[in-house]
Amino acid sequence: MLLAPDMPADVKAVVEQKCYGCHNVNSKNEKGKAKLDWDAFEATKKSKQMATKGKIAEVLEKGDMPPQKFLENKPEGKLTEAELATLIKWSAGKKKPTN
Amino acid sequence: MKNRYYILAALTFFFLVAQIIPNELPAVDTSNPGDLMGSGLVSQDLGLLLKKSCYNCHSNETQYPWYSYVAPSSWLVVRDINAARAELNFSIWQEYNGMDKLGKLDDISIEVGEGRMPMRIYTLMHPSTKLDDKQRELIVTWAEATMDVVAKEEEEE
Repeated sequence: MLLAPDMPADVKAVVEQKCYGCHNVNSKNEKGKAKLDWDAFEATKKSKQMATKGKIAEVLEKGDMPPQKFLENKPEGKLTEAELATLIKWSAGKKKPTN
Repeated sequence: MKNRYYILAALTFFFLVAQIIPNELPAVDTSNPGDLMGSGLVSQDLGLLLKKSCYNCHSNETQYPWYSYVAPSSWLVVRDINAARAELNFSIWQEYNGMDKLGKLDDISIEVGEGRMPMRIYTLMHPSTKLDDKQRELIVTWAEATMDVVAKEEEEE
């Protein structure tokens, strides 16, 4: 898995555990993959990464991810309060990765 | 034969009743100081392209076609225009914050690039709004370049 090298370790850990399962280049979840592919994230340009992070923050703040339907079958996939806070802090933060 | 008559009468009845159900079209406003066109981010050519193919739904300058005034199609128009403006409204472009602009430009690049916008149902009704490959490419290139501009501004803040 390729993630932005300057992605904080705590964020990376949550992403690997709770997001990457659907949001990866080989995902069978076509919609999830189309919306966000973590394997492609690092290679995209900075402005695209910023846009993606903004969208991540938005869906997380609305509580739309992971999807309710997914959680019905896999309740352990739910983000804990702390994990959610970690992801929101990173995605909504203004300072963006440099590459 | 008699059945057919009843069905026709029922349809006519529902059609007439549908017309009196209140259904307000989203307001039209042609004076929009925060419009994208005044932001300095678009060339004249690109502006014309966006106006032609996007502005009818994604701005306050909607020009309503005749079927917007007749139920039940008018219900769909109201729903679609409201949804379109909520998602992206070029008339209030300058009111969006930097991160919102980035997200919207990214969406434009993806939706137009993958041929999902303008919607097929819309171009069927309005063939002149259809984008050819070259026009799509122009919009995508513009959206991508503008993302870089907006991202730079955002970082400098």
